[in-house]
Amino acid sequence: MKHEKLLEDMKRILGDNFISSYQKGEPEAKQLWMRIKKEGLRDAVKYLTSLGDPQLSFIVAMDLEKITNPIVEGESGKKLMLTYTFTMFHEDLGGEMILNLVVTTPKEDPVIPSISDLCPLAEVYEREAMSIVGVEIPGVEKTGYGKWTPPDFPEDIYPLRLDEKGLPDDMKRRFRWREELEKKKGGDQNE
Amino acid sequence: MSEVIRKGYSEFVRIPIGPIHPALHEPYYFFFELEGEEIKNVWIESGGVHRGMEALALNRNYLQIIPIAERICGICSNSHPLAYTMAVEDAAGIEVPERAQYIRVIAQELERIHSHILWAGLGAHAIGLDTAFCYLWCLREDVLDIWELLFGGRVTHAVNWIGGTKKDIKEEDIPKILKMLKNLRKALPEVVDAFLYDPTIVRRLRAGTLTKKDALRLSALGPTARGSGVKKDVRWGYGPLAYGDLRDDYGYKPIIHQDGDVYAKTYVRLMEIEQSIDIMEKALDDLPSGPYRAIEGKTPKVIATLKKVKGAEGIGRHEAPRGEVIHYVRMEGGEGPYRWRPRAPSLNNNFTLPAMLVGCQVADIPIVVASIDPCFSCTDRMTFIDENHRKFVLSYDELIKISREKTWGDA
Repeated sequence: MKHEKLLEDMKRILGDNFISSYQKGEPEAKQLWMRIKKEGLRDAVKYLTSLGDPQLSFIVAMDLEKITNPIVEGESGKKLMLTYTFTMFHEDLGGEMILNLVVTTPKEDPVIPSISDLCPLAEVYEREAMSIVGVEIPGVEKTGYGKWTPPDFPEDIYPLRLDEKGLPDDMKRRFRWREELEKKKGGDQNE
Repeated sequence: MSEVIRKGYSEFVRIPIGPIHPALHEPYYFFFELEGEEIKNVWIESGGVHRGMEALALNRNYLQIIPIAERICGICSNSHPLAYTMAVEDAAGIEVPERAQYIRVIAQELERIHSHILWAGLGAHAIGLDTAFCYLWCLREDVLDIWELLFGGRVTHAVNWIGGTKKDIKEEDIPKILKMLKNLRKALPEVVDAFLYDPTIVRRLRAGTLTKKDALRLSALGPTARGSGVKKDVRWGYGPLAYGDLRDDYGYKPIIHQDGDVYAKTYVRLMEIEQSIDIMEKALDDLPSGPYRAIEGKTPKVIATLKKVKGAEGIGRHEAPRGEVIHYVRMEGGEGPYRWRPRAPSLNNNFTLPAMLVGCQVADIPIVVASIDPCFSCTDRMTFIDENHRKFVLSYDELIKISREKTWGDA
């Protein structure tokens, strides 16, 4: 089956950089989720490029600070995670599948290699990851198409970080109706 | 605003267009480098609208995110909540009842029909053909009436619910849907004739070519990719919902065109309207009986069920009118998701614009930009009425009743 060959090839190419994988959909996988080390990311995408142009759907950036039920051991705490979602075999009616490459990096060394030379669209999503969780991707400028925070946004604050670098309370907009509602609710409780 | 500069032996004119411009329906910033009337280079910058929806979702529960997802886009207002609910169901391992899958297909195809008609109207407007614009939007009005009849809302439809749909389709409404589809099928040849065979219109549409190589390299989606010969349609490739069954039973396949220009994208969209009419008729015919929700009970029961799911990740994807909509959800046992990430197809498609615009004439900019059908949100809906200095607050049910009475008389 296609997904089994893909998995075998990935394991062979990545070697020690391959961590684990699981699939959704039986018997033919609809989704393949693959945990890999960041050192192997470029090799994995190079392999996908050799199969044809990799169709990148999106990259999901996430802060793992408050994860209490990690899917893979060690996938929690002071780490950042990027999930690269590719669409595979789209020309095969009924046989299209999703390949998710999941990469984590510690917050003290948030550097992940860029894949934008292999897949041009990745630059937009890499820039997004840089703006919203503070991943560092060498070779990708912080400004340009896909800059996700306003021009006057402070440098060291990332909107979706769940630690001290996240949005401070004074930057969060409070609506008057919400305050009134909370006051009213508080009053009801006191009564 | 334009600046003339000397570059080697040729003279370029640089013109900024946007972020707010009559030819654009979204706040985008284009910077064109021109030689005479010909576009030599294009730069694009986005980021005119920051709504912070993902951050907003961090403080909401699973069901409160559905209305937020609906408001990502005013035209794809069924696609986003559908992809979101599919992502949650994928992560939580919820099996959606067959009837709900068919209702979702019907709703999704209804959205495709109205979106493609809307696009054709806007495309006609972009090339100065306002008669076609008015005619097409008149046709679209009938589709919106059906939305209102079935689900209550013309712009935000509230079809989806985690584990199924919010409402069922009533037996007595089916003849009205079929009548609308029949009328639309009757009106369509005239539109196809005007767009694909009128020499004046065809000449205007022969611009903005995206090659198959570029479409693949830039991960183009939807009619933008299919117009360049890329056989990519989530409905028939991935087979979500009941699309897999419909493909196997009736042999549906992606509609493609090899030319890659605006004409090709128009062809794909117009043919897809016809295909969607066909799918809706077949789906209504095959509509299975049974429950339309996997989790019986109201909000607390659904939240309690989802709260038990810990350490799970899921992806929901399907084919919206503009291309693949994809959502990611990570569940960690709370009342809401740990992370929700939606992605609209326009984000991928916007990136193909430079490849299309280089070599075009300045006058082609509006139609070439419109050819990828860039998204814009318009979700005005009245919930509060102030008449003769008196204030009336109408409930949701009352609003739907008044709205239906206006459109359908005694319905």
